[in-house]
Amino acid sequence: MEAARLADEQIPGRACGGAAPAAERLRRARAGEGSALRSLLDEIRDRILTLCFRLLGDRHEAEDATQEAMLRISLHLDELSSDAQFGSWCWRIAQRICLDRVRARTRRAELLARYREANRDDEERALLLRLLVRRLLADMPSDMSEVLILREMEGLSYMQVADTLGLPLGTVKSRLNAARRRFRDDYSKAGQEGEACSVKE
Amino acid sequence: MQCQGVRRLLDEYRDGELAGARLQQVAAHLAACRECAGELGRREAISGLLHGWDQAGGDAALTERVVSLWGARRPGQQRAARRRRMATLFAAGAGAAALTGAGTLAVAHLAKAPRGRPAGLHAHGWDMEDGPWDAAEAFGAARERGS
Repeated sequence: MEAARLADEQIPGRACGGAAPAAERLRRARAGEGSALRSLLDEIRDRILTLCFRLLGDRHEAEDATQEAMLRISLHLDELSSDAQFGSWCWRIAQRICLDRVRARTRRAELLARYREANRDDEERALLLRLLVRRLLADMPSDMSEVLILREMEGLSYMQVADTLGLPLGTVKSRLNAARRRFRDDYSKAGQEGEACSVKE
Repeated sequence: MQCQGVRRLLDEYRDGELAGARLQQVAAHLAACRECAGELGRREAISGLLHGWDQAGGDAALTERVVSLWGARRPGQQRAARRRRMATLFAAGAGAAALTGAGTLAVAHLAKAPRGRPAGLHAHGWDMEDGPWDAAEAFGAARERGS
């Protein structure tokens, strides 16, 4: 019960305050009512912008990606199969847009080379490490990266991740295990390639 | 509990998702096993790379931009715009066809008529050269003829 309440607070499109239920606003937005769409977008905007900012690392580009995601969401409302999944559907669209951008702009080998050349205490090194982490996330299958981002970056519990993605709890656990294993392996491999990604224990 | 079993549960332990007997077993094992405790530390460090990322908040202007773009691009709007364009094109085409037809008829009519005076009006005995036709005068003349 408690988990469900927390999940509702975190999932856009579920907790609506004084506004009409999300399903009703979705119906009105599909019919072309701008105020209903505005209300839905206002609810998801900050969460999507935060996701984009974390995945892209640049405020301006994050806003650009958020606008692209929200426009895609607005234009494709008819394709949403279940209104109850509105929040996770939006989140997935934004995640896909960001990871596509990450893949398009950074090559892993180039990042590793720059990381190797940067001074150990340099701020640039920390920045490059974050770029590398983003690149590793972008290279993962999306079903893995989404559970990892929700759990590790957004700090959701397993139950909240399951609720957000509409998955059984067991599936979340197994995907999260696989995603973590993959991330650790990729990170270690990158460290061996670049001889630079040692982690202080 | 053996190391292999503990390592399978390490991430759940770290995430605070274990409870009851399992939680106690894993905690007891970690207190006694240096290798598993080291593995826990290593996993925490790597997962830590994904923690502490900044949050961002947007403003209503961003939503407004999207709603405005949506208003111009949404499928229903595009269909309506396409219908309007088609209707305009159809009306323009129909107008052009009507003008062409009317022009053709007028040319044919003038070609058949005797030169000098409009044929239609002469048939009724009205002579346009006498000046503007006065309806009241013509009506009076007709009454006189009738009476």
